[in-house]
Amino acid sequence: MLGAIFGGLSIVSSVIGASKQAKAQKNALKAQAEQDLRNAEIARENARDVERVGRITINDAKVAAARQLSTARASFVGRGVVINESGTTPEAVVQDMVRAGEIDVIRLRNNIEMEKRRALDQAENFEAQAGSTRKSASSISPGLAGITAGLGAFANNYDLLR
Amino acid sequence: MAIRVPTPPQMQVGAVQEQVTARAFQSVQYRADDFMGRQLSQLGQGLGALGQQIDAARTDTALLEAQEAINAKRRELFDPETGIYARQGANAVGVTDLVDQELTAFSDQLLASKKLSGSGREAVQRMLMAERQRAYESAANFELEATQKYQAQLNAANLEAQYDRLFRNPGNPAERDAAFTSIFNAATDRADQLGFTGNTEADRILRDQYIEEEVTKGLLAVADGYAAVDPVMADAFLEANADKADPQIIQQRRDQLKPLVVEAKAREFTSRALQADRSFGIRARDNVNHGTQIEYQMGPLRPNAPNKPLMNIIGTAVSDVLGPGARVVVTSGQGTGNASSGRHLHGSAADVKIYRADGSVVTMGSADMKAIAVAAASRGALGIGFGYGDMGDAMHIDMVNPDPGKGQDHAWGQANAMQEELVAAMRAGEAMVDKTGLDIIMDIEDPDVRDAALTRYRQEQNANYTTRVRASEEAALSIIEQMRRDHEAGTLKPQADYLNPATREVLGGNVNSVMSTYESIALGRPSDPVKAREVYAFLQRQANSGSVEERMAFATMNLELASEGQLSSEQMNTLYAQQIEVAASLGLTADNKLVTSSSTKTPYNEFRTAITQQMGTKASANAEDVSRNTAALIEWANVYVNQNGKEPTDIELASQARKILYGGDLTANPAGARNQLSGNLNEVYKQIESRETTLGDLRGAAQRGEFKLALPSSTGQLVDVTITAQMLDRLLAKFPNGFAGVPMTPRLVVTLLADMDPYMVDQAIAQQGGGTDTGSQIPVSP
Repeated sequence: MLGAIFGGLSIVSSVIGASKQAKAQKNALKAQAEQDLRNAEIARENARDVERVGRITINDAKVAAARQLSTARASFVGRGVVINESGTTPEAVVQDMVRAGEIDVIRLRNNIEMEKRRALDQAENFEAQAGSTRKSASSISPGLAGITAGLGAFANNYDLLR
Repeated sequence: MAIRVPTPPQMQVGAVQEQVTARAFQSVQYRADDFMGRQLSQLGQGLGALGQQIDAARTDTALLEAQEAINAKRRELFDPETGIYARQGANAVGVTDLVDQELTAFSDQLLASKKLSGSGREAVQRMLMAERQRAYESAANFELEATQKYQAQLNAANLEAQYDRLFRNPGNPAERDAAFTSIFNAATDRADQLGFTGNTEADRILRDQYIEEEVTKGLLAVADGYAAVDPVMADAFLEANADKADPQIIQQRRDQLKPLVVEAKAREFTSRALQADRSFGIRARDNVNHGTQIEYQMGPLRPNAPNKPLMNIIGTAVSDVLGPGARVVVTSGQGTGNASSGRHLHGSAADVKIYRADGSVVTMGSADMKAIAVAAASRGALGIGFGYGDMGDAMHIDMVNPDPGKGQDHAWGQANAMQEELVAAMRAGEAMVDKTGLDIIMDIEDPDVRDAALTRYRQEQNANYTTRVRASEEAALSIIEQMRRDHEAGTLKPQADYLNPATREVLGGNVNSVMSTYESIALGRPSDPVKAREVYAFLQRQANSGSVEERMAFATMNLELASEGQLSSEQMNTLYAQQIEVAASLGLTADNKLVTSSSTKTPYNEFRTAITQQMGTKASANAEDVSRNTAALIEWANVYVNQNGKEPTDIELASQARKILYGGDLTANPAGARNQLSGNLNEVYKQIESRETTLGDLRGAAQRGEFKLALPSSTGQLVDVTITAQMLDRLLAKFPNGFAGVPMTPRLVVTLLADMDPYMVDQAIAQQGGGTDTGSQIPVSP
């Protein structure tokens, strides 16, 4: 008889305990999801920052290139080198320098774009993770956990209750 | 995380770069706030474990208690004195169910009284179940064993009952069939129980053997049932059914039955032999002492008496059925030629009325009349009728063969209903008519039965002989008393008046004894009648008692009075002279006197004289024969003395007398026992054999080879048998005092020898036999 009482108490405790455990788990997951969402927003902000700073950098590059070219022309001219005659070396150098400036810009743009995309990817990852965690949290049912634990405890103590 | 912004190479103008710093991500790991929950869960587990611990302890206790209780219950159920083991036979049937019920109820009760968890209850249940199973098996084994034993007992009892049934109803076929069917079934059941299924050859043999064993017992029971009444029938039954049972056992039982069978057959043959002796010569003899009184009241048509043989047959048959003292009145005898059937023409037919000793008439068709008809048929009658015409209570008996041409038969009237039985009796009687008892005994094929029958036959004859002798002695004493009284009164009549044919018949061999005794009394103490009376009174007293010793004393006194051995020659001569005088005064003829043939009075001469006198007085049908035989005997005796230088012994003398009588010209008609001559020899032998002496003397005679007796051999012939000293030594060894003081006679010696060893005498007869004598079958002891 005493065994049966203990068996009953065991079941009750198991039900309540399991329910509480599930509830805590659910809350923790919810908080985790919210954090992920915040991280996603941060990642988007980072993408925007990259785009903005990139544009400034490209501009800087363009300015620098123009400056170098102007310097070269002035040098050539100063030395009396004709530069705008085709098929001559000075003209080839000027042209190379123009081309090099353009390549740099192009490369900058590519890099900026890739960095922005990486940040956006991170944001999406965080969002996905948040979705997943939220889903996990919503899937936890304290009542069900209580029932499950209760059944398990009942099964364990069934012999005492018979 | 730094934002990587491409920096133009060798930037020299406006070289300040905008530094972009990426925002850091949040990296907090949220943990579930489940401490309470986990604690509660652990508490639940702990409580469950505790409950289980408590339950386990309680279950263990319950198991121990249950074990103890079930042990007690088992002890109670299987107690050797009060439990199921005490049950036997029919009481043991059903103990398994009983044990099962008891334990089931006990288990339920026990479980109900315990508050146990499911597994605990199950554990106890398992334990109880195991205990119940064990108890069930024990009870089942016991019940099986007890039931088998009980079935075996029932089976055995049934078999015993059937054997008893067979033993009680051996001759009832319905009962017998039913009993054997039952035995076969019971034996088959038992064989099944014993495991003899008969599935294999060896097993089948065992099974058949077992069943055959029981059937054999049944057959033995039938045989025993028969044997209780008739061993011969039992033996015949066993012989007929030997193939149905174990032949060895059947033979064993037959061997066990053999003495009884032999005894029964011997009794049967002895009875037939004695009957044959009674019938022997009945058709030829003039006078048969059948004890039936014959009266003649014939009418004018058949006024003559029927012939003697027929009357012998009728008288004997009546005596057989009604006993002595009955009366036959012949109402119709020999006719004069007018008798219708012609049966009465030659005196071989008679119509008779029969009266019992109490005077009542035997009525027509009564059981007695039918029995007399059968007895007459078996004695030689050939025609019997009663219950016809105006015969009334009379019956017709004749010795005439029926003439079928005249429509005659062996039986007619109401007797016709017994035709078959009477004809069978006539045939049986015809088969025996020319046979003596010894012939019948010697015809027996089985030597064991023959020996037993011979011994019995001799005993019966001896008993009959003793009875006759006793009657003869009593008659002799009566006559002597009368003669003495008449003598004293002076009114003595001629001897013929005392020894007439009727008294001679009764006296038989005692005629001489009568005379010698009378003469001894009259002559031995002539001047002293008082003394003579005392002697006589003594003799009579001894004769009336009848113990062996007293009768021997009687014989002693008789001899003392008459014997020459006690007297000197002078005394003997004086005695004989006085005898002759007395004889003359009594008016006796010369033939009846005790005459001497020699002037020399020796014991031998005296005895020879006695023999010749016997021959003269008894074989006296022909005076010439008497004188010739007497002369021949005397001549032989003289030759014997001349040749051997000594006198012949009494035995040799008597033997020679018999040879002369039977081997000489004297015609004995008819030959065989019970005729006049055998009667004479009987007397001679009786005298010889009763001569008194001592055992020592007889042994002396035996050593000299002189102790001889004529005894009947297995073929019925008389053989001179020498009794040897060795035989007497055996007798002396058995009776060391040698019968001191007891007078001994040769006859008594032979009787004692035969009593001691019946086969010794028979062997002596067989070894010394081969005698050529024929004729007499004198009954001689043993």
